[in-house]
Amino acid sequence: MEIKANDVTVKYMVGTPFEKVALHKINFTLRPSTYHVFIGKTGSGKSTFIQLLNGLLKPTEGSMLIGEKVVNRKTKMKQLYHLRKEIGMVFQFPEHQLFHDTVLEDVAFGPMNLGVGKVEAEKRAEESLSLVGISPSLYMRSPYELSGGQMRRVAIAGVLAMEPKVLVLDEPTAGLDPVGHIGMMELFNHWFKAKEGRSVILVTHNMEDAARYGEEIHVMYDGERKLVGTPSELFTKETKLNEYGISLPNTLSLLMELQRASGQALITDHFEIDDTVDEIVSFLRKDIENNA
Amino acid sequence: MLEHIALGQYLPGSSVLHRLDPRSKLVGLLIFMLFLFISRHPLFLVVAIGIFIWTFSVSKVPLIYFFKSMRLIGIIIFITLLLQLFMNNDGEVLFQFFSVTVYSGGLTEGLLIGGRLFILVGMASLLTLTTTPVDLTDGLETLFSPLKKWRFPVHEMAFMISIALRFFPTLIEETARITKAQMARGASFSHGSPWKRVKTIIPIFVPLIVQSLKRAEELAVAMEARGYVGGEGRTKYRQLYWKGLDTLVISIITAYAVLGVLTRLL
Repeated sequence: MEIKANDVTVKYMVGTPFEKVALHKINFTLRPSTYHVFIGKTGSGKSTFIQLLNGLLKPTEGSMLIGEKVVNRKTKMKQLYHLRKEIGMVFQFPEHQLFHDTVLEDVAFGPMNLGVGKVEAEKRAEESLSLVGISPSLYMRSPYELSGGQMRRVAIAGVLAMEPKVLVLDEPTAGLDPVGHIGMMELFNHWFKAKEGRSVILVTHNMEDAARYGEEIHVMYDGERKLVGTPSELFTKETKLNEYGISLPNTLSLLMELQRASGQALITDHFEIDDTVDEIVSFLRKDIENNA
Repeated sequence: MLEHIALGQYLPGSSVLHRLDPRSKLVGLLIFMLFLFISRHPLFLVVAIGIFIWTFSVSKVPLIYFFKSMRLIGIIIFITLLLQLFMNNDGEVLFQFFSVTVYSGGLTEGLLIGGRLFILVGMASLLTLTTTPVDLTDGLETLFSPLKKWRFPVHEMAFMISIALRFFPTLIEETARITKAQMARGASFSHGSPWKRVKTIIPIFVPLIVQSLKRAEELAVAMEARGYVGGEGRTKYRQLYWKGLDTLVISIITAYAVLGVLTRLL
């Protein structure tokens, strides 16, 4: 699904002394079937941008093209409703949205809202619950009896059960432990790869995730998209990134330090920890050979 | 949807009225209101209007904001005026229009009551426009502190109000967030039968209550961890300072009250 922003400006509290421009004339296209990552400082406009995607927010000026659908200031709320079938959104701390008596009912809430029958909705709910790794023994429990990590998985299952084409994730791993973090990110990647034509739009402060999963990284700063590129294109622009308040992935910044200190060129377009270790090992080997 | 709701209606500023001690503002307002209806003498009314206009101009509150805060009460005042015009049969006949007769008494009574109501609510509005809710509670707490003698929990009440005020914006933000999350899951608040729409409150209400209870408990733990015991012997971080200006304001208001009593008696 292609998503296009045409001269989109978003302002909050228009007409009051508190008026604030959150997005300033943004103009770009998000390629379909791609893992997009948005990075940028707090207040750079990332969260505002993702709310435009499923019509939770309308542009103050300009228009969004989401698939076939045009959204501008005058679009009626009722029309935006249909966007929510296509675009699934996982907010920060999604476990705060749970409310039903049982886990299964809560996950089925989304599909039922889309007009899917009860039986079909529960079938979808079971599928997505097993996808996120919630065992059937928990289906009839209250979501409030679960652990924090389980609650989050249930909430995410609730979004996946709507079978969206685009999954929008706003810092989905905030507050998780490192193991839970990796598990969650792998889950999204698995969902992304499981079917042709799916997209992910991830908002994150975690540069390791951006480098590992992102196919296209967008840098937001001060309500505008300043940079875009693949991880290896982007993370070579260190000075520019610093200007926008963005640091390099830890693996890369270690290699850059080593490069600066030794004065030797290193391969710096891989970000995985294993690649970094390999690179350091080969550097050390060369160093020993040279000394010998 | 909820972004336009401001807490109270405080407008930040640094006017003389903003800088006054909340106690002098509260006491001043109370005396002003109590004595506003005591006398109908023109001299007294002119003084009251003068005080009102002076207070307004010194507050530097933009006219638009002032009238926004007066919108609702404006309707009530207008209705009072109309009722007086048509129902009051005192004085001479001013004009007749089919079955409607307007007497001079109706006009003066209407203007008098409507005008005084306007000034009354206007002054109260100016107080809330120029005083932060926290200052107001602090002021109320000190003013009511004599009640402690009768074991009335003044500090606890004031503290509860401050906490409620502090968490009101948080609650609004949270409501907006949960609403958005449920909308993203296809919950619709704009179509369906009335019963269906009422039912859409549940997905917002349940998480909101759960979160609020959690937050209240966290706050209680945090307060206890820092040794909070409340009332007795507790000093304040935010001190209220009574300045010369406050004494001046109270003197003017007292003079106004005395004038009211005198014009009534004479």
